[in-house]
Amino acid sequence: MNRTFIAVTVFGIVFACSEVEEPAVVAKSSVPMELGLNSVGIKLESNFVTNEAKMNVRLDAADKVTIKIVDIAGKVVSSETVDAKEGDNILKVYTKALPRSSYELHLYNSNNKQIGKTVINLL
Amino acid sequence: MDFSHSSPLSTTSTTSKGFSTSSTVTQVTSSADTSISTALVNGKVIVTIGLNATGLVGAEYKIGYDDSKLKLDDVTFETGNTMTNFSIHKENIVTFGSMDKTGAATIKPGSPYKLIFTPKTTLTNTSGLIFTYFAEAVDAKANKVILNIK
Repeated sequence: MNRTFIAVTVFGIVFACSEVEEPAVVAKSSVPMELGLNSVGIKLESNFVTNEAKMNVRLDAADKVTIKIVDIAGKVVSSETVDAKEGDNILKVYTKALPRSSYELHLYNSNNKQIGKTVINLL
Repeated sequence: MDFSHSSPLSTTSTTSKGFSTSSTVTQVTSSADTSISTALVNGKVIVTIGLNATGLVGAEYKIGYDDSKLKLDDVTFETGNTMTNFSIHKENIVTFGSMDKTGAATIKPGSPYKLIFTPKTTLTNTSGLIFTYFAEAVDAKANKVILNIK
């Protein structure tokens, strides 16, 4: 809460004094509600995907994140490393050109530690 | 490249007494690690192939991409001075690799191949735009080397 004091002084005498409360600024999140996360982790818009899926990767510190798409045989078919910032990172997974199947998304930090895993089913 | 889809080779020899013997050549298969990673660099999508195995006289990769979002610009090679490199681009599939028919030269370890794409639309990241069909190699003894993508 911000407080402002207004005082008018004439020949050393205070004639008025008031306190004005300015409304607190409420920060609006740019993260869609369906991708909102309260803690570190990943959240996918939907596990059923046609052409592309949005994913939120929430980090407690900026880091490089590697996203691997793994097929049902356990083979890595796609891998990407992105610079992610602290907090929410909205990333896309493009699936239009992938053969229709189920895949796992594996996410790793710069220490090669897995920080998330989820499944996508291509429709 | 490695004749993996052909019948096993048979060799037949005839002895001086007229007996014939035959043997079947069994192909030895081993494996090595490779990496295929994509990144957005200065507005281009760069696909970097990592291959640290030594003693490989041939390698072949088949990679697909989303041609509604990417346009292939170039395939670059850093395989060493004496390797014969190749790349074939058909629709949204790129097949590329290297081979030394003499078996004397080997692929230089490191990042021997790079694919450079120009995005057709604005991209925030590239996951799923590039995917791998297969990756395999062959050593100097003509043994197949399966490349595990890490």
